[in-house]
Amino acid sequence: MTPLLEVQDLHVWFEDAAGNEIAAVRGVDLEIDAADRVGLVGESGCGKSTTILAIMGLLPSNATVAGRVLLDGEEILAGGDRTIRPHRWRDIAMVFQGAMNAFNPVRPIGVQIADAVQIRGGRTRKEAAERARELLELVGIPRERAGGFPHQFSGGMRQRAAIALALACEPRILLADEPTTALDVMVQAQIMLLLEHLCSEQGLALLLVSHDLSLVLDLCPRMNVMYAGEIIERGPSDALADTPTHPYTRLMFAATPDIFDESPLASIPGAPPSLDREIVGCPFQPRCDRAFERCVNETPVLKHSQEEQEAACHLNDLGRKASPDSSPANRTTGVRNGAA
Amino acid sequence: MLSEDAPLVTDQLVRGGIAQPAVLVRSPWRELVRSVRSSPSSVVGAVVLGALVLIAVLAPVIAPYGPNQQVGVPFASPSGTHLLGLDDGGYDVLSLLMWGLRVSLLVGFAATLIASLLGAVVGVAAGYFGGFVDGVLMRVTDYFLVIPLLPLMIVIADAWGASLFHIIAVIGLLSWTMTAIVIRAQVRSVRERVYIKRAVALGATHRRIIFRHILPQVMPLLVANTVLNLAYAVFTETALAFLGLGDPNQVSLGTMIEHSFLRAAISSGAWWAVVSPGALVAIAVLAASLLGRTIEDSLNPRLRTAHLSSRRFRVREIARARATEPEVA
Amino acid sequence: MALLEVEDLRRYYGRGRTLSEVVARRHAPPVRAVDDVSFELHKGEMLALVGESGCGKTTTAQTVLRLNSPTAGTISFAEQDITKLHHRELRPLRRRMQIVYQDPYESLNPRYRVWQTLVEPLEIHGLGGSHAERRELALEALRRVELQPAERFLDRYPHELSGGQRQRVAIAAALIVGPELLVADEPVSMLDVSVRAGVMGLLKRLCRDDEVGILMITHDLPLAAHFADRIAVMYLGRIVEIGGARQVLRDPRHPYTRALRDVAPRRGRERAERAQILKGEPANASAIPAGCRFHPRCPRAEDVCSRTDVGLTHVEGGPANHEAACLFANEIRND
Repeated sequence: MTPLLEVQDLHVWFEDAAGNEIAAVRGVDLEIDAADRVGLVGESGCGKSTTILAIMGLLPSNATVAGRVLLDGEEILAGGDRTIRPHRWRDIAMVFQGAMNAFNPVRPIGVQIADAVQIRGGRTRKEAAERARELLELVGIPRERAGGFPHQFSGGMRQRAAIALALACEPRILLADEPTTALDVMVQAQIMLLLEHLCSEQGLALLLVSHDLSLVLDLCPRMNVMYAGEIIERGPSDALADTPTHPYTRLMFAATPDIFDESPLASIPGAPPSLDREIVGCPFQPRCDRAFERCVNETPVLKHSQEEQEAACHLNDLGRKASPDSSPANRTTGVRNGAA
Repeated sequence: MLSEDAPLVTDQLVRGGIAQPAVLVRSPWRELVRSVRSSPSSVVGAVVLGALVLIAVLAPVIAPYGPNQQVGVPFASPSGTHLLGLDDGGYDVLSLLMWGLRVSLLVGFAATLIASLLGAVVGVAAGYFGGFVDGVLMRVTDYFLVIPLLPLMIVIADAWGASLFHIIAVIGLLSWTMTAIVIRAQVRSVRERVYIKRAVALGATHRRIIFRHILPQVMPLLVANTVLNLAYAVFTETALAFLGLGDPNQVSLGTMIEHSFLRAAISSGAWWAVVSPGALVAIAVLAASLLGRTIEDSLNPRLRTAHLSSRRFRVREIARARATEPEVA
Repeated sequence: MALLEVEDLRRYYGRGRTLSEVVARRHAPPVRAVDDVSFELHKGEMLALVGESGCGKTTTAQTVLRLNSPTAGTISFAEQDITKLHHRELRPLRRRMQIVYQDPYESLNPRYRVWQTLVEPLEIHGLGGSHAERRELALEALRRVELQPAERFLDRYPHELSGGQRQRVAIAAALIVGPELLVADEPVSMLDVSVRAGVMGLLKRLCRDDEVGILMITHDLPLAAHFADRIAVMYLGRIVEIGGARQVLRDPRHPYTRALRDVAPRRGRERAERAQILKGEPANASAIPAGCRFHPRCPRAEDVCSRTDVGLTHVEGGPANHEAACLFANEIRND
């Protein structure tokens, strides 16, 4: 069955003010099926937000894109804005971190959502307004508040409204880029619950981008881990947490605090590589606690490592575990409190 | 342990939702120089202004004749010896231009100095201390803002006579207000930066914070403002002199125009006596404006509009390069 | 006696009146950002003030450092009452109480090289005589925060450093004067996950080895659980529970603490099983609910809760320092 959304060998380059070319995304493949919930995790600068923007065709003019984005098997990236535009918001919609601040402060929220509903066409203003109220209810905002202005809503409610806005044209996929990062934990939990319901009840597919592994682990059965512009491991989220096959994945999980786990937290020394030059060998090698000679010069390829997981790590070729001991990797720390 | 060759990263603007590495310029001064160099109009402005200043400074050396040297018949046409002819008194217009430029620029710079100093002091004090001090200073600024230039100058000329000193004082005293307002706004925003709050928490005195942290940030804007004030001051001096309120003992570009006008240069056909000083004033003001505008623009925090552009990203074709599976050892 | 003692602290902000209030001649109710907070911080201890936005934790930290004036209550630092000191008298004390801010991108002057940032506190407080001595102190501070080789960092500008490195520089600048109290306001929330444990570990070591008392402000309960010795949970300007970190999380006696704990995603437990996600959001700090301020959102609230404002009381069956502000604290035992 063709996946709903497929990304093949996506590359994105930016030209900075000084004229250097920066390779922000270096060959990313993704597959999302209908009603699927997939996570894309990584730290700042890994390219996850850029990937999302590329799929939506929202890259700025100093960006260059290569690769394929297929919606229902149909290529939409090749023609640039022209081919992506018809699908934007109608098939693929997006919620991002600052979305709660993206509302026009001088127009009521209901009106702005109704505007979005009318992108699809075929409705009168009255029908659109009613649909806007329905959408607000769907995301947990009482219909009576549709006439309210953005400043009259709390941050959490505005983010819900942003989700309603994204759902205005009944898209089949929702791309959520750090949708709850700026919100309190309680509101965050509310929004996550909302997303879960929306996916199960509306059949919406979700690509959740976040730096918070526990959040993604909670909501998405499948996860991709990004580093320095490429995906270095992917597979079922539980498997990645329990038996990671890439040291970065292991260390990231070990660096995420869990209330009920008292083992010491890991940290990773150093910093990600500069993306303005070619990267030789494994991009993670300078910071990896399991690196060996081969890692320095030979770039690992993302391929099957165990069960349903794929990882880009030479250790898997040699049958070595991604963790220092021979026991299944859980929270064993790679490096402790290095300077970073 | 950070290894010796761990790459030092450039900042990543992920917080804005767009993961786009950006090189932050650390110094507004560098930015200032860079912006001046980047735009042709500002380069022209800087060069021209520099040339004019040079001429003014060197006037005693390079002017063919003195400012009070009568060399011929009034309103004589331009000729080989007198490239721009003679004015109403028989003085060499070209030489007078240089001497006049000297005075005009002197007034301009002096008045601007007063305006910038006053404006900076008031602006920094109002912006930094806020509250009551801000209120009082801003009311004072408001009062000065509405004092009309011409009546004031007339009154002063009448009461104390019109000398260079008076003109400089009046122009300076009436143009510091814009500087104060602009500087105050900038100081207010800089004051909210976290590193300022950190300095306060460290126990830094007001003096240290103002002089070591705030002023350096504000200086480039002050420079831009000063250059623009210069344009205004030169022009205003010309206008006042033309209206007869200039120093009668000095030759400035404004008095040159005034004399020509009063002595019917135009009806005599002696266009060189009117157009030359007028054109020079215009060039000076234009040069200063071009320079000042560009500096000011470069210092304003620019809206990040890259993401608002009509999404004209480029699409590139690459061969689907897939590394072949390495042989399993 | 404790390094820092705070009693009945209140910090209210006036709010400008709306037009209707002016017309109706009503006073605008103040924003009660900190509304009767008391706690102690000891040498060599890390106390985490945990809560959601608007709970007053940042205001508490700022008031405790006398970066503003309390509306009521007392603050004692090293056995000295600093509540009413004038800011000129406070200046020499500032050497002993320092702060590290949340935003590593903003807390360093972008035009100062690292050595200038580090030397400034020395200049302000007249420490370290010659330039060479100050440079040596700066190198020492960089080594303490594990930025090695220290010499290489001295001449850098902030924009040449990563977030984690900048935060370490900020910590070094705070430590260089040898403070006894350090307030860390969300010290790692803007850093990458892989870097957080490193910086927190550094703070923890400073706490232990140099006996610095650290007051950490955070919204991240799991992080506090890992690093803090004690946790104080704040809600709408009040501490609703306080005690040893592990203790409070193992056996929370206030419904809010329990909700905060249970809402964190956890392996192996379906979301549906977790204790309920609270509805709505905290009330406005200028319109605090009557009675127990948490009662409108509390899953266990009863009638009496809307009438009784509860203070912190020792919980039964727990260590002496475990207190909770709930009428039913002793019935909410761990399950």
